[in-house]
Amino acid sequence: MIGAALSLPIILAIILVIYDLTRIYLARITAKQVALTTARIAVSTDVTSNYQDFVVKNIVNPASGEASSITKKRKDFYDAMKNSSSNYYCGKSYLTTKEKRTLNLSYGYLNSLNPKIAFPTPYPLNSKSELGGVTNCSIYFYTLELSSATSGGSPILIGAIKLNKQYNREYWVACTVPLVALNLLGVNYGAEYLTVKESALAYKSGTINP
Amino acid sequence: MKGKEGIVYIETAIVLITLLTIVLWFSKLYSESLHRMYHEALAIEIMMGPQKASMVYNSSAHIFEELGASTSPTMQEFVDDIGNFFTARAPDSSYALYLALVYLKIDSNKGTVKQTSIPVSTVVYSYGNSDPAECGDDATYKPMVLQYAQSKFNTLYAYSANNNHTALSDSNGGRLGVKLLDLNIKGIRTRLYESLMPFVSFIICSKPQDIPMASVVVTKHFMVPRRHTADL
Repeated sequence: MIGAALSLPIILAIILVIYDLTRIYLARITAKQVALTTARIAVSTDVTSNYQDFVVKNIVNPASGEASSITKKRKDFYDAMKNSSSNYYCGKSYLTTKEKRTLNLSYGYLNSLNPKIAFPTPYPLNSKSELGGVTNCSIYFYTLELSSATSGGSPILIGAIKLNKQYNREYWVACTVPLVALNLLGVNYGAEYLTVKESALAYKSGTINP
Repeated sequence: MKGKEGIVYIETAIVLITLLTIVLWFSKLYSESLHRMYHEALAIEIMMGPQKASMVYNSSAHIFEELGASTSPTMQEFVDDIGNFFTARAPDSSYALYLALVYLKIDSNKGTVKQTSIPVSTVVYSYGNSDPAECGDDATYKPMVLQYAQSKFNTLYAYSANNNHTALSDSNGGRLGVKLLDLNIKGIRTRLYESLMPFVSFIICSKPQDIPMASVVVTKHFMVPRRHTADL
């Protein structure tokens, strides 16, 4: 009895920690796979999608039963990509047709990997409850030579803007995982969720001509 | 009674130690497989990333030539382009890259492989982690690059030799070179191939950090670089 009383809570804690670690591990693999596939799509000379005249904000996969206000925050992520005061600023105030199509196909790939992953992550993310109990992922990019994300500050413009120049883009996938046990143990400074980020470089992946 | 309690404590300790060992073992497997995935991702990024031309055309002799110390680009410039990109994209400082640019000699008329071994003068270049205790062990990894290239060459040569059709034959079996022209004039089939086929043989090495028992992770890769144009 004493042994069981001692062991069971510890075994339960270990199981929950393994559950959290496995979700983080899967999120990391998913993020890397999607980032790499996104870069591969982006370097294609002709990125086509059947849904050509879409509004980029329609690319949303809400968590099951979530409130419309949270879905709106997911759509706001696309505005953050075009907002120079955001850490997700892509380097310009618009997305080119090719960039939109790349995002469309990439989110489609993410959805095919795991339909339960909600995207994009609500912006700004204020609490664990906004994640809807599932992993949330966002795909964004920095147009290199055009913008550079500074540590903790606003991105800066560098170099002259040439509309028809082939720019490099660094595609990032950030997946946020709600934690069950690790936050109780003080891992990740006790935060209720953990974000893993993976990137891939799309070398000369298109002009910035809209 | 006290004896029984002691046994229970010992059993509990054994169970906990076993569980912790399992967790540690899984963390080792996870981290090593994660590094393997990063290696594959890096290899794909290298294929898509910046590269200089891997062959030069000698317009006076009308032949394609291997890169060397005096060609444009030089061999050093070619490998530096890849090596610098690798170090910029590597997830952490434990990563090392060893690479060699090797050429298959091709029969220009038949497109088949002419030679069976890579030249002994082939140089292997290294980038990134230079710590011999981890991935910086040149004596181990540089020969590994050449051995891997040789094993691939053997496969290509065997394929070519086993399908060694004549220049006039319509069969495309065994022809590996880059075709320049393929004509059929009055029933006579004429093909012309580039006399060289470049390959980059490389290995990526890294060491998972902060994980007990984790060992060095090494993966081998073989790719066809861009031949004539430096950029996309």
